[in-house]
Amino acid sequence: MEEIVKVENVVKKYDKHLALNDVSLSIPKGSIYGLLGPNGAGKTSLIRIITRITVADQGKVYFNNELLAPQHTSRMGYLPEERGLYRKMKVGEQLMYLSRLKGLSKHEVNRRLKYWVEKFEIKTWMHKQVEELSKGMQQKIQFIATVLHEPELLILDEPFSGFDPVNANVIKKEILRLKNKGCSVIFSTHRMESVEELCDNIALINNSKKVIEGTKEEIKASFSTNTFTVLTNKAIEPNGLGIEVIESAQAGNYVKNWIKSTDKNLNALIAGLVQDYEIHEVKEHIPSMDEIFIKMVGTKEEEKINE
Amino acid sequence: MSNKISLIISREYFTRVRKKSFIIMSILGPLLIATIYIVPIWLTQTGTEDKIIAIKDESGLFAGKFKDDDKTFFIDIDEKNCDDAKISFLMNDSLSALLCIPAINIDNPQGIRLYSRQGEGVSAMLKSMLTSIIQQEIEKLRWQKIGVNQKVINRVNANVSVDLLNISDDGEQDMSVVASTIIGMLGGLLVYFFTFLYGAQVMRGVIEEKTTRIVEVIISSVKPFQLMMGKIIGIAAVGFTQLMIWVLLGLIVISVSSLVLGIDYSEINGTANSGMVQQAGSEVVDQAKEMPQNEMIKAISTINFPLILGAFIFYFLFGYLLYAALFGAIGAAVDSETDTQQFMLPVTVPLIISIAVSGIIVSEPNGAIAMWLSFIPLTSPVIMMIRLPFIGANWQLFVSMAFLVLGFIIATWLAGRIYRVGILMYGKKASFKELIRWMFYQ
Repeated sequence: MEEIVKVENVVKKYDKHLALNDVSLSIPKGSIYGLLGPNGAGKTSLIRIITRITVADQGKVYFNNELLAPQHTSRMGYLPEERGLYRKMKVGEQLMYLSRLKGLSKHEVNRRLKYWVEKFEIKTWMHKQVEELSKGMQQKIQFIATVLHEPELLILDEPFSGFDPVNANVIKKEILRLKNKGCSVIFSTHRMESVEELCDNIALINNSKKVIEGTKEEIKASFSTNTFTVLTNKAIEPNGLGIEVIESAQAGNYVKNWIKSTDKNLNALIAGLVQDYEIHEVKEHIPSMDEIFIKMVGTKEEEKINE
Repeated sequence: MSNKISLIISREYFTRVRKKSFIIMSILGPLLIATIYIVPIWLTQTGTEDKIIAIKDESGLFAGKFKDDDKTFFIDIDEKNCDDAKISFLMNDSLSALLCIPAINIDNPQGIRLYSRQGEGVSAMLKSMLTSIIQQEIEKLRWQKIGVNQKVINRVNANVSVDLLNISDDGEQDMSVVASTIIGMLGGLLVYFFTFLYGAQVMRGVIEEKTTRIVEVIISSVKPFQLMMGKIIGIAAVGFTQLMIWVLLGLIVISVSSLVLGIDYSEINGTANSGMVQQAGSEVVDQAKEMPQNEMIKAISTINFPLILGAFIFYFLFGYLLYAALFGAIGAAVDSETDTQQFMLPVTVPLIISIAVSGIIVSEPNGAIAMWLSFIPLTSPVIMMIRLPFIGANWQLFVSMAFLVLGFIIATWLAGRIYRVGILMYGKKASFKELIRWMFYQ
C-alpha cells in the first residue's frame, strides 16, 4: 500500500497542553481517510502539522515518501473547519488570489475556473463581493478555492457543515469525483453518516492519542458484538443453545428476539434454533460508526472519570 | 516564494487603493490642505479688493500724500467740512471709507477719524497703513519745523535686520527659526499622521484575516512572516500613493486657484509683515516692502531640502515599518478590534509623546530631551523630523537612523513571532505575559 501521508510518532505541545501524544498514521493514496474524534481531541493540530501551518515538536511527517517540506503545501488543498474569505473582495479575484498563492498561473486559473463556474452555477456571482453572498454560497466558493489547483491531497475539515442537503450532495459528488481522479482525501468530521458513506479508511483520535486505525470493514468487524435479531413464532428460551437472550418482544405476528451468541458461528446458531422455532428472519447487528465512536470515546471518558 | 510575497503585496495594495474611502481621502486631503492654505490668503485679499477711500483734508497738510496702489484709490471729497463729507459718504455707496483730517496742530494731532459703513468696517491693514502715512507726514513736518531736512533724515534712518546664523565646525550658515519650525513640524506631523493611519490599517487587516479565518488557508500556502511582511509593505505602498496624490493634487489645486482666484502666494509674506514695513521712512518704503519677503525666501533657501526630503522618506518609511510591525503583532494577539486597547496604549504613547513635546523640541532643538528622544526608535521618526531643519546633518542623525533600523529589525522579529502564534489562537484573550511567552516559542 502506497501512502500519501505518513505520520510517525508525532508529539505536539501547546504550553502545558499536550495536543498530540505520539500519534502515528498512514494515509493510503487514493482513498478517503476519515479522521474522527471528539472536539479538542487533536484532529486540527494534526491537520495543521500536515499542512505545515505548525510544526511538530517531535516525530516525522512524510508526504509521498519525502520528508514534509514547504514545496509540498502547494500540492495540498485545505478547507478549514472555520470558513472564511476576504469579505470585501470580489469572488473572482479571491479565487484568483488564493489559487495563485498555490502556484497556478493566471491563465491556468481562468481555464480551470470554467468547469467550476458551470458546475456550481456561479457565473453571476463572480463580480460580487463575498459579503453579498449567502453563507452556503460562500462555502461553495471556498470549496472551489480549495480544489482549484487540483491538489494531490485534499484535507477537508467538516466539509458539509453549513450546506443544505442538496448542496451537501453536490459537494459529496465532487469529492468522490476527485477521489476517482486519484486525489487522496483526509476527511475530518463528527458526522458519522458521511463517514459510513464516503470513507475507506478511518482513524479515531481521542485525548491526543490515536485509538484505532484501519479500513472501515476491519474496524467494524473488530467491533462485532455477535448480537442478532431473530424473528420467530415464539419467544426464544436460551436453554442449552449457548446463547443469551437480551430481550424478546411481540412484533405483529412474530416475536422479535435480541440474542447474543457466545461463538461467532451463525450457521451453528441457526441450526440450534431451527429445531424448536420457526425462523422468519435473522439479522446480524453490525455496529454503526456512530456506535463505535460513542463506544470508544465514551469508555475513554468513563475511564477518565474513574481515574 | 518571493513571487508569493509580491502577490500578497499587490492584493493588499489594490484592494485598498480601489476602496471608496481611499479615493475620497485622496481627493479630500489636498482640498483640505489647500483650503487651510488658500482661505486665509483669499480672505485677506478679498479684504483688499478695489477700494475707494474718500479724504476730507481740512488741514491741507496731506495733499497728494495718499498714493493709489492697484487696489486702493484715494479721492479728495469736495465738501466744505467733515460733517458734509459724512453725508455725501453715506449717499455714495462706491466709497468704502472716509478719512477726515481736521485742521490739526502738528504738535498735537487730534481728531483724525476714519469712517466706515456699518456692517462693512475697514481692515486693520488699511487703518494701520493710513495711520502710518499720517504719522510719517507729521514727523516729516516736525523735522522740518526744527530745521532738519529730508537728506539728513534719510541719512539717519537706519534699516536694520538681524540675520540669524548657525555656527558649526563647517562654518556659518543663515537660518531662520520660523522656516525651520514650520518645515520641522510639517515633517513631524506627516510622519505621525501616516504612521498612525497606516499602522492601524495593518492591525485591522490582520484582525480581519484572523476573524474571517482565512489566515489558515493563506498560511497553508505561505509562511506567516511572508504574509505579515506582504501586508506591511503593501500598505506602505498605499501610504506612499496617498502622499503622492496629495502632493500632486495639492500642487494642482494651488496653481489652479492662483490662476482662477488671482491669489498671489508671494504676497503672504509681504502682507504678514506689513506692520513692520510701515515703520520705515516713506522714501524707503518700497525698498523695505521687498525686505521681509526676501528674508523669508533666503531663510527657506538656507534649509537643506535634499537632506530634509531624504530624511523624511527614511523616517516616514522606517517609522511606519517599525510601528506597522507592532500594530500587526497587536492584531494577531486579539480576537476583535475592541480588544486592542490594552496593547494599543503602550504602542501609541511614544507617538503621542513625540507630538506633545514638539514645542520643547522646537525651542531647544539641541537639548537633552530632543537628543535622547531622537535616539529612541519609537520616538525618533517624529522627533528627528522636527529637529532636523535646526540641526542639519550631524552624527546624531546617523546614530538616530542606525537605531531606528535596528529597532525596526528587532520589532519585526518580535512581531513576527507573536504574529505566528497569535493568528492561530482563538477565543483566548492574550495577556502581556503570554505575548512574551509566544516570542520564545519554538
